[in-house]
Order: sequence, then structure tokens, then C-alpha cells
Amino acid sequence: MPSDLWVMFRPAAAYSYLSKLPCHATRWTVVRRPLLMAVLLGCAVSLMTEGRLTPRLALPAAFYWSFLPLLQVGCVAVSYRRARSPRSLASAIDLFFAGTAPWMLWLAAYTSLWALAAPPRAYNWSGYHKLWYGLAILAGCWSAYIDFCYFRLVLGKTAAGAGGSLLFHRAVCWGFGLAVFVLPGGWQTVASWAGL
Amino acid sequence: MRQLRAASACLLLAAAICGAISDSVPGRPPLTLGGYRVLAADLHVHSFPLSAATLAPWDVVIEARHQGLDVITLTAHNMVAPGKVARWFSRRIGGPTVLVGEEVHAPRYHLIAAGIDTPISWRSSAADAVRETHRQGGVAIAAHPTAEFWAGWNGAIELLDGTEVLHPSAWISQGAAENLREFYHRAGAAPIGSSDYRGLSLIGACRTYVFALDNSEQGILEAIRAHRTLVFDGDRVYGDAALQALAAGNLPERLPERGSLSRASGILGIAGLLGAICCGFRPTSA
Repeated sequence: MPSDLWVMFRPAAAYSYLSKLPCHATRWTVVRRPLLMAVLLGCAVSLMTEGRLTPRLALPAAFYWSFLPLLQVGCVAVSYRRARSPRSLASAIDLFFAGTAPWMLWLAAYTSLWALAAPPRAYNWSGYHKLWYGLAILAGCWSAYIDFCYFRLVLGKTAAGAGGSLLFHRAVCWGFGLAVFVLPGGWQTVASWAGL
Repeated sequence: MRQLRAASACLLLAAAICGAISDSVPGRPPLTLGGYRVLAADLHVHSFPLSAATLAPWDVVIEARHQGLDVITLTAHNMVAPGKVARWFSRRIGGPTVLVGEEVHAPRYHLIAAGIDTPISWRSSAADAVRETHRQGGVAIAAHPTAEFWAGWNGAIELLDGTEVLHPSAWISQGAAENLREFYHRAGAAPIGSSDYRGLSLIGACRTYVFALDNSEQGILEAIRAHRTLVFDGDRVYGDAALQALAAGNLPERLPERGSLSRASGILGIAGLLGAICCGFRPTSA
């Protein structure tokens, strides 16, 4: 089974095994999975809007959407500095990105909707909010468990430390990511709700 | 496993090749009917970042050109800067006419202010936001005025220049479609079809045909103020009867079907995406 799928289905066993393998990390190791994520995000952007994969859209989108993997690299680096892991930072980053499959599969499903259906039908099916939000919550919860296993088993943190790292990662990545995505409209919604 | 990874890469490459070959700007001569220049417009478009969309303003401009649009309005939530970037870029590449705009994203109404220069506060009442839009020389269009927003438009509906009678929300629910039509008939403003583009599906999937004297920003704004717009929703046509007669048989009433190469690119791309996610890379230490 590919390591990414193994991490997704059995994160504790997979990370326990992978973290004990001898490490041969190179410079390529640190960039390959974040780069793959950026490229796949660019491909998804192109497929969602045009229903086809065109370099005209995928390449620039991969460039500016790379802020997401870069944010995650930064968060892992901060957690790594506070850990006593025998692994190199490059290998630690690589193993972290092996656990992103749940979110990427959700994105692939959502991309398929927009890429394969005609606009009226795609919008109609996107209106099944319970389905899409339900799948997103499932991906989010399972992804949190995978990352918890990562912090615990790869970075060698205690359960409390792994929980703290997970919260830190989610607060920074989700907070900053949402701000970049929807700050002005989101601020209006929050300010109106809070009576500011 | 190595073969699976190679197959995923090949699928993505094949998808990109099919996508690139099928990706072209439609060659379309300017259309003039009854002395008016007929312009395809999408007046409600978002961009990345800060506006809940996936494409940057310059990519939105290029995408609009590829989808045969003559006019777009960049309508970031509560800001106008992305519209100015897009206008600057479009002028340099000879792209579509870009109206600088804003979606005034207020709790009780959403307003498209097109052709403005400075942001309009979301804390304004709908009537004040519309008046400020007019003061800046722009046009005010009610954005997706479904029933939940109707109370917010009290006292402002008669000031509107246009209202979105076709919006993707109409494809999500029949109730929303009926709401948009009812509001349009009450407002008596220009019919507008907008895709509320966010990078999902095609820009201009819902579009407005503007009958302008020319394709300048002022010409387009004047045409909207004069209600010289038509919208086709597949079953119905909205707009002035004389314009409908002019347009009969001259304007596409539905989106064109996608070509086979484009479809192939989509299917191959999804397969490659799944393969790349599942196969990834082998462990560094294996």
C-alpha cells in the first residue's frame, strides 16, 4: 500500500513504522510533498473553473496557492524546534505532508463535481450542503487524528504536547488561511454578529 | 507502486496537453444590432485573495477573455483594489472592459456597486449605499436578492439601476429562482445575469447582454442605467421587448457544449489528481 494511503487508513501504525526507518533526507525531500500539494491545488483550481486542466490556469494558481503548504511547513518547523525528534527537519516535513490525503481527497471529490458536470447541474449538486459539509467535517476530524499521531509518534511529543501542537497548527493555518481567503466579507459577518 | 506513480504523472500530463490544445480565445467579431454594440458581461466576479475566490485578478481577466466576455466587474467584498488591479492589467493586454466595483457585503443586503472608485461602507443602509454608488458615477445592482434580503431593500428598491434576475442560486433552488424573478418585477430595474464567479464553474455561466453605444466604461454604465440589457435563462428572456426582437436569433441563449478534448482533459485530470494523492511519493528512507 502507498505510504500516503497507509498513513490515512492506519496513521498510528504507519507513523510508528515510518518514524523508525533510517533517514536519508535530501533537499528534494523537504520540497517534494509541499510542491506536490501546490501543484495539485493548481490543477484543482483549473479543473474546477474550466472543467479541464490547462497550464494557463494551473501554473499561476499553484504559485499563489502555495501559501497553504508554506504555512504548514512553517507550523511544522515551529513544532519541530520544540520537539526532541531524532529525524531531520526535512524528513519531519515530508512525513507530515504524507498525512494530507483526507483533505486532498475531499478536494478531489469537490473538484470532480465542478469539472465533470455542466454549470447548472454542478451548482445544483453543490447545494447539498449537508453532504459537502459532512464530508468536510469527516475529513477535518480524521485529518486532526492523523496530525495528532504525527506529532506524537514522529516528533515524539507527549499526548498534551501533541494536542498543543495540533491546536497551534490549526489556529495558525486555518486562521491565516481563512483571513487570506475571506477577510473583508468574513470580518463584516463577525462584526455584525458581535455588534461591533 | 512505481508504475502507479508514473501512470498518475502521465494522466496529469495528458490532461494538461489536451487542456492546452483545447484552450483558445474564441474569435468573435464585434456584434452590432440596431446601432448598439452588444456586449457580453459578467458584472459580479470575485478574485483571490480576500474575496472567497480561487483566481487572481489578472487570471480572471484572461479567463473572461477565453469565455468570450466583453465586460466584467470585479466585485471584491467591501473593497475595490482588486478591480483596479484587473482594470490596469486588462488595459495592458487589450482584454475585456473592466469596471471597478465592490460587492457591498452588508448584513441585510448585498449590493453590486459597479463603476465606482472608492469603497462604500457595509455599515451604510441600502439606500445610502445606492446613493453613494450614484454619487461616484456608478450603477447599483441588487446582488442575489432572495427573500432573506428583501427587508434590507425597503426604501432602496426604487433607486436600483439593475437587479440580478439570473444567478447561480437559481440553479440551486427553485425557490431562489422565483425570489429573483419576483424581486426583478417589483424593482422595475435592468435585468442582470451574473455568475457571482469564485473560480467554481465558468465565468459568465450567467451573463448579461448589454446594448451599449460603445464598449467604454461610460458607455456600458449608461446602457445599464437606461435598462438596455437582456438576460437569457434557458427558458425565458428578460429585458425590453424591442431589444428581444433585435436579439432574436443573433445571441446564444445557452452556454455552448464543451468540446471532446476539453472533456477528456477533465476526466484525465481528475484521474491523475486521485492517483497523485493516493500514490504520492515513496518514504524517504525506504
